[in-house]
Amino acid sequence: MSRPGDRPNQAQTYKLVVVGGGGVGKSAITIQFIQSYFVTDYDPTIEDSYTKQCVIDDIPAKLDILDTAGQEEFSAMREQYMRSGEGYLLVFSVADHASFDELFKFHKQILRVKDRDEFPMLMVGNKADLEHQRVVTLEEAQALSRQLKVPYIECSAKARMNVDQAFHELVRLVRRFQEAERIHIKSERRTKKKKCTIL
Amino acid sequence: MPRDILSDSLAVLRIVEHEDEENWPLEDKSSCKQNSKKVSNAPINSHNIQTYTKDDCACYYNYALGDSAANRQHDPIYQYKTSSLPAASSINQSWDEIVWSALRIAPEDIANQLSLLDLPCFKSIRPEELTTCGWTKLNKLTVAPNVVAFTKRFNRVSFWTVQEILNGQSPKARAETLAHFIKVAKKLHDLNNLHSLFAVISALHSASIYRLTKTWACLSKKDKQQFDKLAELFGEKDNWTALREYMRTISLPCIPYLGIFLTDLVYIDMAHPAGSGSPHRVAKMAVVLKALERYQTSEYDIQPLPHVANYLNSVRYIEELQKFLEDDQYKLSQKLEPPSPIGSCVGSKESVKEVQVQGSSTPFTLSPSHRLGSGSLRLQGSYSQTKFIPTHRKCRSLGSKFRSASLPRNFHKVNFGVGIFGKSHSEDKDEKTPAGSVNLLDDTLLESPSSVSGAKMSQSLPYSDVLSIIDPMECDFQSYVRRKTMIKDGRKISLSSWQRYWLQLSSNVLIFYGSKTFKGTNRSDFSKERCKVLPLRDGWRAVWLEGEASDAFQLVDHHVGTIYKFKTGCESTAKQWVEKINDVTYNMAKPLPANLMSFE
Repeated sequence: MSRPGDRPNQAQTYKLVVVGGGGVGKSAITIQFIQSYFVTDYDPTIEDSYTKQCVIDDIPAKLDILDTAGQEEFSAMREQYMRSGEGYLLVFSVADHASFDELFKFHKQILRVKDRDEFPMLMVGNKADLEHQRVVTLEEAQALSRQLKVPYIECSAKARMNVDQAFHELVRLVRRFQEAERIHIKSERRTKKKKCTIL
Repeated sequence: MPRDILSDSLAVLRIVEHEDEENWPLEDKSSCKQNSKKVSNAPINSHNIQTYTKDDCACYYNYALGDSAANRQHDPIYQYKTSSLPAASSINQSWDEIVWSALRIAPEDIANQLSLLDLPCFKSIRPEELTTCGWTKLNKLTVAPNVVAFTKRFNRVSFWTVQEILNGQSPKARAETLAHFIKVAKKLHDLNNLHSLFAVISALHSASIYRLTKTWACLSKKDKQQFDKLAELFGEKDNWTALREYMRTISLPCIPYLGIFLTDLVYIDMAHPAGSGSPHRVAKMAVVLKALERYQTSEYDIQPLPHVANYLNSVRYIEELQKFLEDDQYKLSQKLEPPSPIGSCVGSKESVKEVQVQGSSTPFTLSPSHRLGSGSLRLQGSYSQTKFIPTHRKCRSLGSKFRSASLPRNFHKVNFGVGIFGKSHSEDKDEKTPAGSVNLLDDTLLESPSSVSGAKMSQSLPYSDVLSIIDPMECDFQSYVRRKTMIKDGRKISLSSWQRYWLQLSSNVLIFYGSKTFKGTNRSDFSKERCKVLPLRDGWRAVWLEGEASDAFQLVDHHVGTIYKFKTGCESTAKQWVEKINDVTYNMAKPLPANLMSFE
């Protein structure tokens, strides 16, 4: 992992993981974000199908997005791929209450894997364009957001609404978290002097 | 029939019994010899109890020597189990669980049979299930039943792996199972069964297993490296590049990991929706389907082992309860190794032991004359003789250099947590805490790192309860022996040599007296002061080695994977030792661990 300042020319890479139940539109969100427009011969199997360079708050960043859409039922491998993430989009569909109920589980699992009490995550309510099919109210989602202490954003992959914002917001959360982490480690180092061997 | 089916190690208990009842093998030497040559080639004869008992010994024996797993395929113990014990026999419920812990099956057998079970399931997947992305729909069970079934196999193997590891009571026991599954993973890799391989790797990467720092610390460096290498294959980096590249290079047979194909299909479906008339949809899906079709022509030339397959199939859980299973496993994991890096001080089983250790002010392994300090010198002297230095301790001291991708992040915190609270003291504790099972006591004394000062060692000498049992005058049996450590805590000792001792059995404790001379075999040729004490817990079993040398027997603790070989110089003495030791351990059957849970 490169840090800003290490090499000024190279953007820091952020490993973002998109989690959520099947059919919530994870792949739609990811594909909308990666491909600003649909290229006709889009190939999901090549190496850089899920990376994107962008500038967020005037700082360049390379986003490495892991989306296991289609593999939701391989629940046993979830913790393995979760481990590598630095930030998580918890995606559900506002038109599917079961997918909303699952978020709690994903949230818990991420904290478990990360062995932390908090970690950069963003709750994303997809399919916000389907207002007439909505079963998860904004209030309900915000209540969970407060409970989990995870910010919430509504988006629509189909209408290309708030998709970029969701990813950018997550990167901001990751940056803030990592900054706090560095300060914490520094102070830890100072107090423990030579004993600290992490990093 | 078994007097106590709750015992952990019924198989061996039965040996003892048959020895009692039939006086085997004393009266049946010819068949012993014939049998001993190549145990695994023994005819499969399920109703012949004699064959069974002998081969059960042999089973341990093979296990001890890390014998080729293939040989054990024909081991009649399996045959015995399947053909003469009805699977539903209520009296043998616990027998099933015990015999059929994953550890008792050779890694190769597990990998082979898993592949045989995976293959038909994989082959039954139809293109229609895939092109419609049916498995993502609500009616997935009707439109994509085979994809769902194949996926379930993945989860089942993974949860089973986690559970098997968590069944170990001590870090060392868990590390043994962990190492076993790394060997299974290696075999699966050799078979190109990437499906089950990933399931096992996922299990080891699960929060419940990954966080077990003490357990990982007990794993040999070699196993760790092996695991890292295998895990690398399933890195999600650059859109699973490692796995995609690897699959390009391998030839059939191969059972691929279906997941990435499913993701690819979902993305193709998203980019080129059905009904959009995009020619790319058909073309791109065809590429995926063609690849899968090719894998579906795989055939394995593996002999089915119904009993192993039955066992593997018996591992099930109710899908709806999967979430709870995961939670339970995580809770169990936390219970086994509490979260805080220095958590072993709080409320864990180990801490109870710790108190005992600290409370024991009298180091019983030292003779009175040595208790006051000079004993430590001698201990260190003995230590330098023993060649076995567990690698993980070395690794620990390397600190950050030892950073391994497979190790939990907390791993190093454990070390520096220790630093805060007084290094050497905590290290002592660390050596002891893995001793979830008491028999690990043996040699901890002698094999503690020499850097630990003598004073600390004596301070840490444990088990005052054992001490109280030992009456110096009391001796149930004694003789001259030569001892060699074959396997210690699951690792083969390559540089082990024969050491001469005077061995005494007092109550439930084996006491070793070091030699004073180079040759003699009389009591007077050995020191009067004990140099080692080995409390016999019920994990220990003695097995007479009929074939190898008639005067030899093995002392086995298959829980922690420790095996000593003894030579007595006389056949009847060897047999008496076996009898005496097993008499002691036989009466120590302990109840099943409370957390031994089945998937049912």
